[in-house]
Amino acid sequence: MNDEQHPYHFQPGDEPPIPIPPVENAWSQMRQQLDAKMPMARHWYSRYPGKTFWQGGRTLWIGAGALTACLSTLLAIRIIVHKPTAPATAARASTLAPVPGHPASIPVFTPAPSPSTESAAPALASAIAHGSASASIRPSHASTGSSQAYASSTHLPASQEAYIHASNVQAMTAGSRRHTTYPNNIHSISDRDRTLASHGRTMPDEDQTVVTTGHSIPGHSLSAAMPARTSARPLSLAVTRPALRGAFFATTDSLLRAAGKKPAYTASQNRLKGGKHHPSGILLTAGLSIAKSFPLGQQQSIPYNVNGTSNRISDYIPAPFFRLSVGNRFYLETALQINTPQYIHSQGIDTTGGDTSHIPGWQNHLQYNYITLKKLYYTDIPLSIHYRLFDQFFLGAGLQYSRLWGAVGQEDIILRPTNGIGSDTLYSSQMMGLKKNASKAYNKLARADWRLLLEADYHWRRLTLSARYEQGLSNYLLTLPGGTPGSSKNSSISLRLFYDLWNPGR
Amino acid sequence: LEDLQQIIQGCARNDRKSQEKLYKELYMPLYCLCRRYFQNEHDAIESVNDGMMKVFEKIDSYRPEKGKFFNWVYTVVRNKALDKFRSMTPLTSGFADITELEMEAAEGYNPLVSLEAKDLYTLLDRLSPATRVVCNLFYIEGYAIKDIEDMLNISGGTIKWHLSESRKKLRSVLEKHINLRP
Repeated sequence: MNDEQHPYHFQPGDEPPIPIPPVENAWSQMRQQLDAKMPMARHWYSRYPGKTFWQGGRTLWIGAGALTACLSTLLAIRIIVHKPTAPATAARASTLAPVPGHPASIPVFTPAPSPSTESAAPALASAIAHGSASASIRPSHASTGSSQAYASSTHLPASQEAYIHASNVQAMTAGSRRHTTYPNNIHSISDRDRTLASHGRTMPDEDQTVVTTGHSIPGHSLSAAMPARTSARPLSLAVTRPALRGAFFATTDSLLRAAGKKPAYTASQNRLKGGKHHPSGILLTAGLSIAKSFPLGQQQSIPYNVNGTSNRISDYIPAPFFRLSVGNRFYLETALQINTPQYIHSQGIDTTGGDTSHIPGWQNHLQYNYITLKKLYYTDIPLSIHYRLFDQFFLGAGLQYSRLWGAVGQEDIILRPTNGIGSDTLYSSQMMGLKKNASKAYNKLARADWRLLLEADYHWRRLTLSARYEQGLSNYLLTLPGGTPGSSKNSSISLRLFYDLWNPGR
Repeated sequence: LEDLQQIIQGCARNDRKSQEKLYKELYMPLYCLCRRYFQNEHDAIESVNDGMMKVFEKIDSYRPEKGKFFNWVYTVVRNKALDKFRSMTPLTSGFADITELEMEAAEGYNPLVSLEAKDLYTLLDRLSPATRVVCNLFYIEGYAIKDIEDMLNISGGTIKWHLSESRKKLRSVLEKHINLRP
């Protein structure tokens, strides 16, 4: 290169001597060339749909990693301290003794003294022996074959619970399915601190049942009057101290039902304080949802609707959805969402003109029309399957069929002098709905778009909050202005709020 | 450029962010460069992109001791623009009927040197593609006729004819801007 600095060599930062086309459009074409000739190093995650999301920036990558770590940790904790939900057990009220002074007249267990000389039982055993304590029983979360069963009553303060440790505790049917006997192998009673920390504090009310059938512990004899359990799963015993009986056994739904009373807490209240409501069988739910999308990477959010006007209320049209629950672990979900905005990066898609201008007063100019694509609109039909990780938290994945509904483009009309004297003039620049204006550029867009979905949902009462990531599988732009095939795929991330209008399970 | 070395290293790693930063920083001067070779705006952008593609591919071979980075990029993009121009516009030799006087006139005086930059593009747009490129290389880029012969693979006489032709076509316009020698 000639080393002499010539006055017509423009350095970066100089004022442009001529109109410069938008750099974003030029970079968009440049990036496509780079992607074709110099693809980025393929990380392990780039082999999967969503690489645009990962490549969107380090922040997104770190955020996604942190979210995954949190979910994994929660899942691991859930698995370790897994608490199976047992069906409500209705004890026979006739076998239960009323509790004097209890506001709801809750029947509780009153053990009979035993001549045993076992000295390992603490003071609580003595309380049981004297009829001043009650016991409840529920399936243990200990695995089958465990030599020890625990009891935990979450409705008691930490300092007021105790546990019975027993070997090979197992339900056995004796004569009637309504009675269960237990081996005489309970060997100790301990304070709550030894075990409660490892079992959490959430035990459904329905899991508690008063023990009244014959049962023995060291030094004493217990009776249990719970329905027979055909399961071979270990059972656990919980012993509560008498001072707490009135306050906390009032929350025991099974006891209330057994006594013919209405449960102290409704199902929704139980859910609020950690209870669960997972219907079994098949259940159909329907309702409405509303979504809010967010731009990813270089996508731009522009405040125009499908017709190219500035009112964006139509971007938030509620969508009907249907949810088919299978058991309490899975559900299928589909919806019909029309006029869904899809953010994209700004991209020139059509140039026409070059002929003599038809604009009055500009006949000595050539007219060029440039169309830059700004935003797309689709009608979405997703179908996804969701799996309950824990509590009310679900993860889902599926496919979505998206049909092009409209597009927003920016039309620039540039006039260039035919005699070569003078500079180009930007005659007009406006947003327009490409479909509404029957623009030829609209034909360069693919009509159908299949996408992969990933979702994370949290359910609360009739509401469901969902975060969804979508990754298109095909190019949305068929050809570029130069005739080369397009290589841009849709991707989006959105928050959705679902409301169950019709839910027979509620 | 800020952190030019980091950007260059990022481009060498094929990092899109660095490539984007470099591209956007150099886009304006490079577009102005290519626009002098092509009247059509889209050809100019394509030329910029082709040149930058080569820059990104060969950025490992850039050595600071050989010159400024911008000059290296400028040269790469200009050469790529010339390649594109040669592929688009067939250049033929045979313009031998130019007088010696016209040759001297063509070589001896730069009619564009006193123009404003914005007028330069206006004048170039009035020339045929081949004359435009020769005029650009000779009067604006400052190359010798011998160098232009090698660049465009045409004879010196043809180059001089293009230079003379450019003076003739631009005369009417130039007279409004500068005082041409009689």
